[in-house]
Amino acid sequence: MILRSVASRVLQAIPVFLAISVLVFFISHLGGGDAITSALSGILPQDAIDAIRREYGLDRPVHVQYLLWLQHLFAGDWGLSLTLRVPVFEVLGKAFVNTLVLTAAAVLICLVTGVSVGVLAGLKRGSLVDGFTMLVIQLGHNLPVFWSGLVLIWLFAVKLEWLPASGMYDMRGDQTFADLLAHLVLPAFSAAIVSILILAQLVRSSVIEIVGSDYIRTFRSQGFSRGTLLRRHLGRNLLSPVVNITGLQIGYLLSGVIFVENVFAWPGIGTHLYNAAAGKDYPMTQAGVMLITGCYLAVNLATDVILDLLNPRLRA
Amino acid sequence: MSPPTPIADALPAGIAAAGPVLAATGPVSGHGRWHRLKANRLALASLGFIAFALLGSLLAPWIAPYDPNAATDPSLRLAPPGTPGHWLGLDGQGRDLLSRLIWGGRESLLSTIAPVFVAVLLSLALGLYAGYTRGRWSALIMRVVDILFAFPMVLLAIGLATALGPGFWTISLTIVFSATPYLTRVVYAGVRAERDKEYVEAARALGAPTYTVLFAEILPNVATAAVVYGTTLVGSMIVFLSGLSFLGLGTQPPTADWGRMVSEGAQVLVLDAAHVATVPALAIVSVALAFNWLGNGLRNVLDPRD
Repeated sequence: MILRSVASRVLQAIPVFLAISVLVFFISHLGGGDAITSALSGILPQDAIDAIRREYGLDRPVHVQYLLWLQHLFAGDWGLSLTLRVPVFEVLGKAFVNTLVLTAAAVLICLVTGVSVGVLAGLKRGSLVDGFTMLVIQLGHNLPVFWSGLVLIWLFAVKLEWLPASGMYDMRGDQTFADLLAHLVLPAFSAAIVSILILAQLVRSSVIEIVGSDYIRTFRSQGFSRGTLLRRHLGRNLLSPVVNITGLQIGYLLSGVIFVENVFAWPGIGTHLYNAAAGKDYPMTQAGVMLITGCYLAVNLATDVILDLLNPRLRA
Repeated sequence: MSPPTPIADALPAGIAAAGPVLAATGPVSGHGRWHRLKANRLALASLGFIAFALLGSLLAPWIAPYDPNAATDPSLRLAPPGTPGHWLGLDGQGRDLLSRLIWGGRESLLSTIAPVFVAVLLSLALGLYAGYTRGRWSALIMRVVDILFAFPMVLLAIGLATALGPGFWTISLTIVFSATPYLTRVVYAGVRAERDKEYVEAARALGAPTYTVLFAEILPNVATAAVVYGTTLVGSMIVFLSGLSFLGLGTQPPTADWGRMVSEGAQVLVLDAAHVATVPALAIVSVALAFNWLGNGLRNVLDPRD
């Protein structure tokens, strides 16, 4: 039963990936003409441009071009960056690892902070802590990621000088783990802020629902202590909603990370992508967008599968 | 992809608090509605603040004290707010921040509100069609909506900017694409709730053609919901648009909207001139909050069940 649901979810993700790939391919052709000619005319002689056009298959019909492009995408042959003159795969591969490090740190911070704030506010419903949390949550939904990053830089890097303001490692240092952590704190936290608030809000309402549920009241009336009941039932019942909302937040976290990389000069995919967009470097943006889309769909898939596994009704 | 869940509605940052889908509005008289809106002080204050910001943007050529793009006082570069003659201070090039804020509001507000309005119209068309018919096309539309719903739209902006260049079309299309899936879901749910109600069946039984049922019976009951949620959405979209401009995908220098002003402020942050980024950032946050609160207030007024 579980196997079947996992298989059907994988099968559902494939057309989504293909649909987005068609969209990405189509958007690249929106500019009119062909991008290689417009990007390289005047830089390279015409016969060199024609050679590149043939290499990319631009003299073939559009649907053939799309299939060729897709084939190259899966083969890891992402073409040559028009601005950097190096294979896109090399550039993005390295940057991708850095983006993953930042995203993973943001997810971790989001989970730890969001769940603990939510549980605290939910258990102390109506208290000062709860009221304050709800106020912060309401105000924080509109916090621009890039500005919260700047505030953190101003406070912790410019004023207090506790943490570095940009980059991934100290230029002169020897790239130690401690150095990485110091550089990671501010960007990861600013990428996570809004998701923390959303997660905390959801955890709070789940906690309130669980604490007020009939079975907890029944157990209480039978003499179980509140602490015992919370230990036994709270975590287990929170697991599904937390996994669900965290998975759904991944899209938001990923775009947050792209903004944050700009603010903190983090050498990730985002940094390459908006430079590439400004330089009309479309092999780079196509590959980068498809890469992040792939991750996004993979995380969605993983979330759904984990939720299936956690759902006792699906257990055979 | 997960099926639409109530939790999925919490996805876009600012609209998580939007709550359950609003369907029929019920027989509340215009007078009663105004009365309830007046009772909601927060929504009323938000409305006033938005009107103030919009008016300021529209009157920019007349009320801005200086040319926003000219270095009016290079000697006072980075002067803090409260400097005589320059209420909000000056930026790194000696340009008056108040003038830039007023002109920038014109860019930020108008280039958010117009695409969201287009998205409202688009979502009404898509939602009415998908909600009323139960065919393959209807399923396809809602599937695409599901896909786009939580997709990181900044990627779309990057793709569009590569093809079309940064600027008007890139940000407008991105905002239309970001707002439409959310609004289409709202309209779709509304239509599904209305389509089998007695008044619609009565209209059908009396022989009204499909387009009359759709536009004269169902549309009035779902349009309010789309407008209300559109209002809330303008708030989050202003933040999103500012982000795109911050990345350099929006207006190009020397024209500045609030997002670009923040990115200019970021460059002088290390010089301890925090006000250059803070002034436009506060404008973004407060206008976004005002739209959120106005939207929530309107929802409470129009949907008494809440």
